[in-house]
Amino acid sequence: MGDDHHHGPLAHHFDALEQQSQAATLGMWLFLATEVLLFAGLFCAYTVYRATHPEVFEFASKYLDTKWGAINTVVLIASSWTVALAVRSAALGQRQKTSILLVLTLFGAAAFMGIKGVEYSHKFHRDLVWGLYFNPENAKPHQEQIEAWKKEWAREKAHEGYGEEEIAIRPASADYGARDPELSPPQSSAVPIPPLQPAGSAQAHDDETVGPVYYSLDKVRNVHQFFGIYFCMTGLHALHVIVGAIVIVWILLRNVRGDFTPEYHTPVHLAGLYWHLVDLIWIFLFPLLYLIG
Amino acid sequence: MSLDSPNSYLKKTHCILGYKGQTGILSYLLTLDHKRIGVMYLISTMTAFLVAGLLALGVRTELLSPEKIMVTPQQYNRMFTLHGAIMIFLFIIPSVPAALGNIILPIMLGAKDVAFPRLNLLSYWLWIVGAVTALVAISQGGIDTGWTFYTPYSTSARPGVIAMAVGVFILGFSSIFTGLNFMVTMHKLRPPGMTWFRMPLFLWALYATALMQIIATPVLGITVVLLGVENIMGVGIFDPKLGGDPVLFQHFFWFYSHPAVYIMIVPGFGIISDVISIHARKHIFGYSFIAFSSVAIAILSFLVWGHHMFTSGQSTVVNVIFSALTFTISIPTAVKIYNWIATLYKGSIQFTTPMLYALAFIFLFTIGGLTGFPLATLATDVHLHDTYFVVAHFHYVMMGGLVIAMLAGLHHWWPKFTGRMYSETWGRVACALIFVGFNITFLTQFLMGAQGMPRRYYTYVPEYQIYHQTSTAGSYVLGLGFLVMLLYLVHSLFKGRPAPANPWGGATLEWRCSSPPRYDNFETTPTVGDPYDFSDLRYDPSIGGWISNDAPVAAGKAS
Amino acid sequence: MIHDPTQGAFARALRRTATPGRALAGLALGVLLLVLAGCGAKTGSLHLPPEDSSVAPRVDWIYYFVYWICLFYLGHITLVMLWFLWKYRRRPGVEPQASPSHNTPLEIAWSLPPCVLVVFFFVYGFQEYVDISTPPADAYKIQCIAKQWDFRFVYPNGGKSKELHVPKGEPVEVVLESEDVIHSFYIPRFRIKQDVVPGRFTEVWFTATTATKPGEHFWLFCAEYCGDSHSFMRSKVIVHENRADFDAWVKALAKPLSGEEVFQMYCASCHLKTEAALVGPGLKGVYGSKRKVLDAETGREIEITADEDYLRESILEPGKKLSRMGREFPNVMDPSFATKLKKSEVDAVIRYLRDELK
Repeated sequence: MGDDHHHGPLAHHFDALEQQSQAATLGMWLFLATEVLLFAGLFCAYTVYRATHPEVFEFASKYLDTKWGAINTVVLIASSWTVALAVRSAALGQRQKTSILLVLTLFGAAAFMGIKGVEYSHKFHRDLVWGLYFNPENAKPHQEQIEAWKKEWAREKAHEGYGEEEIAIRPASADYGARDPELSPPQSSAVPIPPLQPAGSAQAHDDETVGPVYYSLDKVRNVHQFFGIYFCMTGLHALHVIVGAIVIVWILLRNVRGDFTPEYHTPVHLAGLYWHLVDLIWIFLFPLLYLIG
Repeated sequence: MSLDSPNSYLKKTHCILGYKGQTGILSYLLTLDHKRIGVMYLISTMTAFLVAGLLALGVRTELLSPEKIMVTPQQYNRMFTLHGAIMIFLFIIPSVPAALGNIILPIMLGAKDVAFPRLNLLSYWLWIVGAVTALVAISQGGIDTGWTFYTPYSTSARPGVIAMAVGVFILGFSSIFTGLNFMVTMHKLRPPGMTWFRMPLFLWALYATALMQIIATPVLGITVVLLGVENIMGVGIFDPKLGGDPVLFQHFFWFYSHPAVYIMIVPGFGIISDVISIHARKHIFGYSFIAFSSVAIAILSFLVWGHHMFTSGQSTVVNVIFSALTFTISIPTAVKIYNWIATLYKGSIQFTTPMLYALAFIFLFTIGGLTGFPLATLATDVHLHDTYFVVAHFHYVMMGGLVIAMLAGLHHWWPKFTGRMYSETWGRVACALIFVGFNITFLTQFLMGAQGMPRRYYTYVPEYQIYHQTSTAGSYVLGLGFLVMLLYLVHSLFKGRPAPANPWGGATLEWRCSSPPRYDNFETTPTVGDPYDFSDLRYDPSIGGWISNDAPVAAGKAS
Repeated sequence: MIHDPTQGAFARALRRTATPGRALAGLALGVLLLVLAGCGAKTGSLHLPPEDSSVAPRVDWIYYFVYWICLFYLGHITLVMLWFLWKYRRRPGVEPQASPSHNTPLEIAWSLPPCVLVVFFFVYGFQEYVDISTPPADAYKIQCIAKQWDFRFVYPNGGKSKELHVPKGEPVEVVLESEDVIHSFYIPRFRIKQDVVPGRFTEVWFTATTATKPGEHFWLFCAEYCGDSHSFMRSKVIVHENRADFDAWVKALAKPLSGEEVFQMYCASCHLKTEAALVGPGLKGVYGSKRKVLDAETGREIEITADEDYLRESILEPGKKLSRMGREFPNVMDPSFATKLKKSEVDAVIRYLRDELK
């Protein structure tokens, strides 16, 4: 095989480098479209479950650490920037600069995965995982977390112009709300057959004055649905980050070898496009998962 | 050109598409030549067809009696599941685009190859890996979920499902890469003069198919990924025991699998348009209508998936909307039939084997399409859904439609890529056997289904036995037809007479290069004209094929 | 000398005697005769089973409406095709004649009728469907629990049966639930079908218009593939002549089930009345016999006597002492009999094992 290697980068079935580059770019865009559609399925699942279990999403997303999510967003955007610069310097024929920028991009990828690993290990540690392995006993909010939520709620309410009195947390209302979850008996939230109506949701939205919404796990059913979707989406995205990093390593090696010229640097361009897609998907994932609480 | 160049074709070899300096099995397995990849696809998909066809015969044999004949219910369930899964994922979806499309598309377009030959080879090998993974599922005790993998049945601890999901995921990427390759090829590798509206309709059909493959297949990918993680880790998205929604799986699945129906049939439309026009020696009627209707079908196919779920408990409003949308997609499909009939008008119709298949297609596909109406009509679908009526309907569309169209294309292009003519006589015999056997098998199933016989049944109440026996008898005739076909096609490879460049009188570009074509297809970039203008061609008995009017008269022209 | 593939002797004969066109025509005629036979209705026809519910005649009317139009299309497409095939067959010296390769008015003309027809199909189908899917408020309600692989029906007085009994001439709504996977509730002679989806309730309704004769019944099938014994998952529908008959039957259901009836309803799908094993061990002579069992607490195989206590424990907590009689039986028995069965029913089935299955 490989009969199209002999004449430099131009393959035998193309007439000109430009035609070849255009074809490759169109192919890459089509591939990116399929990637978007791959994630679209997960976004659909997200939409359906958020529509049917809004209280689950609102509640469970509080368990995600917005700080780490935000840092990761910045890291990815920065790496997108460096890869864009790398494409530019490849077009200008600045080989060394291209290499440096690609290495920086790889640092971004590594940092992202590192942070993701920290987040995952926290979740695993507390059994905040998907359906079958979700353990509500271990997953209960810690006292300090509840305190933090209370404070946050009070801040929001104060911001909206409520008085001290109204903000002050009342004792437990009849069957929902300010009851200390630590005192409630452990109870599986993974019920065998789901109720026809999700429990707890109606009150959560009608009765805003009761107190801060820190549901106890036995009040909100199917919390693991959120984590199932969270792990599917971020897991698939992390897989794309890894693949993207491998592609960039390969591009980096080819660059060091001197494969690219200002006339022919399509692979750098395509790898850049792929990395932007990885970045773009995260930009959707971050608010949808972390910022809805 | 030196003799060592891969472009000099070895006339004497039995190995089809043997290029000088590129012989041996490895040169085939690692080839970047689109024709060879196409041939490998053809062999592989036809092997899958053979396996799945034998499974179908097994299923039909078991159904001769409501009692056990040769297999247990479990084995029966595995048989029909494998029949469906292999036919759909390993045969029908890749058969026309990946096999015939790979061989013909670049030549028809006037290009030297597809845009990404390495990706092309990769997608072939992905197909192989996917097929092997599916075999792993069988070795794990087989899968018995039906090819639709409905949850929660498919998520209740069935080890084979995981391997099958992985296999289908890989096959999906094989399909995506083929579609992507074709689309880029048609956008970027058209030679000068090949405008969009000079493209033969087979290319338009492949374009529409590629569009659907690219858009729909990723959704199948994510669906089987979720099915896999549901099985491995118990994510709970589709499992009602964990609060998931099993009907959501059906939505996901049919969002792919309905367009997939058109991924299967639209290339068939393309073949039929070309075959009918060439063998009737008549310009295709309503070129632009056929071209646009392929694209319209591609787009509409994404809006009708819910009609597979009219009885699933989704809301009445949703059902009504999907029913209405389903009717809209029937129009462009139905009206194409008139275009094909009108193409015959005032033509010069030759009853060659490809033409017989094409005519059989019109009859069978019309039945397949028309029986879609009672299924799209809500009130009657409630009764007919999940019965043999549906089975018969989709076999008329998939087999009477696509498989017959594929056979038309296979016989039409067989001389082109093998360089050999097959026996016309046996070709017609096989076609007749297949046509008759097919109708006996599946017309009966319409009646049986309307009488209320549910599908996927191992045993049945006695009143249905006569239908089952008739249907099974028909399936044996059908099987015999395929056996005859296999024999004469293989025979032609060794003993067939060498094919002329243009045995049928086609005006599309693939008939301008030699049979089989050289490595990069054309000696000089061909000039492109109207693909359906046959006025420039005349039959030359001395070579048994058609040549241009401008060509010099062959010496020693026989009477 | 190379010859035209279409000029062989057999080919010539084929063309002379049995052109594919003629073969097609013969077949089409046969098909036509076959389908023309299909237009009785009340007693069933070649196409459809007899109409035994209030919606059935209307559904059938729509079916035949669609059917005749489809047949008209198939017929004229086939006939025109055959005519062209004959008239424009390739003959020596006859060249194809010129004719336009498109004709917009013609193309619009043949596109319009299908457009109009599908609107009729849609509207009729949709109107009737709304009817089929909306149960009347006063419908008699029966609960149906589907599981692998049978249906069980619960009537308002708590009586249970494996066959569906309904009164003639009254709307009946069946509320469907599934214990495991998706099933589908299908009565061909009523023209109704509804999937049974785990995790939610679905419902289906009908008014039976024909009473079943004694000893006869209509079939109820599971129409959604549900595993190994899917095709065995069928039940009988019995339509009582009048409400009084039906009420009497339902009333009789409420009386406690005999031990044998309990066995038939709950045990017989896995345990035979002989000594042979099916999914679980055969139960003939189980009472008082020495049994080898696996004690779940210790994980050891022990031998016990199958007395009343053991039998009761095996029904209510099936995993505790798994039978090891002859082979290792899997722990697959439904663990929820403690809630499904009344105490009197457990007692009755134990008495049945002791006194009758000796």
